[in-house]
Amino acid sequence: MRDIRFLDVAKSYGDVEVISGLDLHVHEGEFMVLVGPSGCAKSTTLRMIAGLESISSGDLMIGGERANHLSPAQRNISMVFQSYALFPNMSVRDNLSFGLRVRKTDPATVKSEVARVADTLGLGELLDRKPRQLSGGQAQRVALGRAMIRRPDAFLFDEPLSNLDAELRVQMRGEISEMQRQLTTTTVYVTHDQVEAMTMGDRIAVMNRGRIMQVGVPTELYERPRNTFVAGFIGSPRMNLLDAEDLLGDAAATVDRGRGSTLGIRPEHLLIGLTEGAVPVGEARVNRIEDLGHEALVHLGNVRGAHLTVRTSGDIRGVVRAGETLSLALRPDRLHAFDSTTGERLP
Amino acid sequence: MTARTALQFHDGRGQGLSRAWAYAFTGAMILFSLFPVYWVLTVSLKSRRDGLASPPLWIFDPTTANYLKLWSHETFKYTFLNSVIITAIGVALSLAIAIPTAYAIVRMKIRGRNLVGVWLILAYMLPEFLFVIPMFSLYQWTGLYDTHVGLALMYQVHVLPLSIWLLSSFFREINPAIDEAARIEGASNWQILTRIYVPCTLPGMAATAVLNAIWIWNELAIALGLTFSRAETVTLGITSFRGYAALDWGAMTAASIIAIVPMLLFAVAAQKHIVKGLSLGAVKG
Amino acid sequence: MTSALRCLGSASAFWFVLPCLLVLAFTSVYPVGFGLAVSFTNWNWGNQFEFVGWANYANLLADAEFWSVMRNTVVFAASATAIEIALGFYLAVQVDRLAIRTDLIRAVIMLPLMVSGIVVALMSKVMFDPFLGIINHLIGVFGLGPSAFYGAAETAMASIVAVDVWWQTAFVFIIMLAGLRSLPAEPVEAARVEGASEFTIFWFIKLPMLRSLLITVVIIRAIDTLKVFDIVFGTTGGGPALATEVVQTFVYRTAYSYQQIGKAMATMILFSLLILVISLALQALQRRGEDAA
Repeated sequence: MRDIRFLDVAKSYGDVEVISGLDLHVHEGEFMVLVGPSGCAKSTTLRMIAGLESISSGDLMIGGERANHLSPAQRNISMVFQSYALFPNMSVRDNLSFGLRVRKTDPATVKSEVARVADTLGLGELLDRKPRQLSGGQAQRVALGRAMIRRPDAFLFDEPLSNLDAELRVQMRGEISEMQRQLTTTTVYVTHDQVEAMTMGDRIAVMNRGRIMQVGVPTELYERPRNTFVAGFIGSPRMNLLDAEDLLGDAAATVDRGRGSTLGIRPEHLLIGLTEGAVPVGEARVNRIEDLGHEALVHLGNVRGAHLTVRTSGDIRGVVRAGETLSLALRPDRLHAFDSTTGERLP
Repeated sequence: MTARTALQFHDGRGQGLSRAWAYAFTGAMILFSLFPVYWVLTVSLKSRRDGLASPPLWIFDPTTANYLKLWSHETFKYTFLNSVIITAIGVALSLAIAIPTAYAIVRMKIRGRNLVGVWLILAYMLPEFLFVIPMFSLYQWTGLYDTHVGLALMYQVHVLPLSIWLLSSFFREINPAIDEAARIEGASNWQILTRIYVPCTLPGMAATAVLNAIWIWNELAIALGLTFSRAETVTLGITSFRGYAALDWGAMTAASIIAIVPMLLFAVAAQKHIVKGLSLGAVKG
Repeated sequence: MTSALRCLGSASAFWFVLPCLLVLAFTSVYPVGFGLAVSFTNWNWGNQFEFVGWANYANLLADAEFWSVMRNTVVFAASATAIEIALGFYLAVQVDRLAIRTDLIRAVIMLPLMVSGIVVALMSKVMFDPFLGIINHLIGVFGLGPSAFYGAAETAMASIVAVDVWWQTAFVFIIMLAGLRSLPAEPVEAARVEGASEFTIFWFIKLPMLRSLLITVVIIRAIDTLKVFDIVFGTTGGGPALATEVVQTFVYRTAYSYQQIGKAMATMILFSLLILVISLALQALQRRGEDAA
């Protein structure tokens, strides 16, 4: 188990710089999730750790040693791919043992290690099958097994669950987390799915356009997003972000840091009707209701022309209808204030 | 499936008529393709007298005399054997060279990749005698003239470009993530090629080998220019029957049928591969 | 990815392509280079080896025989390619419409393609024989002929074209059938829902999607027919009276019968340039179509 550290790393293809000034420290044994929209260079970052992408400048340290010029084979890491990348011509057994065999491990060890991993992941019945005879979930388990068997210094995951159906995804999410907790192997996990990020990561690094926007534990990202990007990215449905005046009107002056800033309020923190201790934010007209059964999303437009989303319980079914006007309120301690030009969180 | 259903749904009377025409035309083309081979086969089974009958006989007493005569024809047997050897060497050589080259072109960074591509296309499309005539003297000087290996080597000028195109397109169908996975597992390029790429593209290898074999087996111009007696191929063996064509149709047609048979067996056994190879060659070439 | 593999693989990439480079250098670069040099000499395979400048080229361009050989070659290539493309493509369209499994049909039609050119030539001599051949007998049933086929200057070229059509039409057929089969179903179904006729669908939807493939097949057939050797060598040998002499048989005769290696190589160089120009022109046509689409 070793730690992984990026020191001022940049990556460019020709003249196009896709990553710049990347500083990130993945601690020993930590489960780090890289999350961000597509094109944010999170996969490129992961592939630089693997040695599949070269590093244009800066240093990549693995276990305290500079690893920029090590080949993938020399890094002793393993990786699980989105497409699983199982070797189609080999049985499950040969897929699992491939890495050991090319490293000339003695056959007895190979055999016992395959048995150990097959046992852990419940692959015993499948050892003689070819990848094309496996279901998506089984293929995913084989890919995990192939990553585990060499007892690598780090696991890398590149969107490993995005080819699975919803139910299986929830199950595998749990299994991967569980496996990592038992093995305590340093792990970097790339995903675009914030639910995976929030539920699996010890810490999360949110990336956008080749830069890290914020690194922190899941609750920190949710409660204290450092900028409007993270505020909008983490949380579903996304946080309402608007000019203070558009949200509060004249009441903006009464709120701390309210003047001239961008304010954020999560849909679950906007309240319908007046509640004690809440600041009224005026009336708004219901445009549309998305009824999800256990909860409902109410989309509104307020008198200042701003659009807001409120998340509420399903109980409003039949009580509130499109076209009606509601009065909204919020608790000031749930407000997030950002500089309206830089998007940075105001202290 | 849906396309076919939609077509049948659309079938009016006019459609039925034109469908009938499609069957008739296809039938006529099958006849056109088969008849010459059928006819030559019958000529080869005719006695000398029946073969020269006028008008030509449709019904006759078949005889194997022509084939037996051919069997005792030492030169023809020898050229047939030569072709088997040269085809085997030529195909083995082409695959041995084309497999690593195709892998490097598809999955590695090579400077001057385009230049190699242009070179391959040129080698493929330029006329045989452009290469053969200058090689004649070099081959005599180096001792490659009239040898199996020398001829098989010269055939690479044509089969190598074709093999590299075909294998490249088969290799390209493999998910590049598989390379990366193998590389992370510690495999070298050579191990990735031999333990994953080659086993994964065996049908493609077969298609390439079959097409190369057919081409080498049937080639005439290069063999004519670079062999004399020891390494003469079956196409040259057959050419020797050309002179007395009018006199001895029996031996000539029997020799033709025997030269066709190996390729016919190939065609039946590897039809899908051949079709795939030909189509890929055209689409990607 | 490729850029990462550069630092990982460039040394081994060299070893991967080295055998190919060596073999191609030996079998193509050397002969083309040496041949080009020889085309400026009067070499006769023996001791006569003098630099003659452009004499071989000048003599060729002033030689009526050379031009007649060039004309024969182009006439053969143009007619054989045109007929094979039309027939093969039309057959592919018809077979594509059949509602039965077509594997066997395809295998049977592919048969001529497996036969070597020299065998095709000898087979055709048996069938085209003016007195005993089956073809004269068959066309006689319809009140035609008899024709001398290879024996007369007027019919010899047409006979060779017919033989090439029998031999190579299947190539066009196989590739165009594969092309038709690989077309996406949705545009055709959408057009059918819009009420388009089968002819409209073929002409305005399928054909434009197949245009590039069709031109590729034309290029392959054009190059292949320009290089024709086997079937001329095996049938007429260029006769009667040079009526069917094509470039490759002409060069074979010049080099191996008359020992005029300089002249033979000069012919090959000029002919190679012609092939290059024709294929570049066809490729330009292909590219222009792709830009327009």
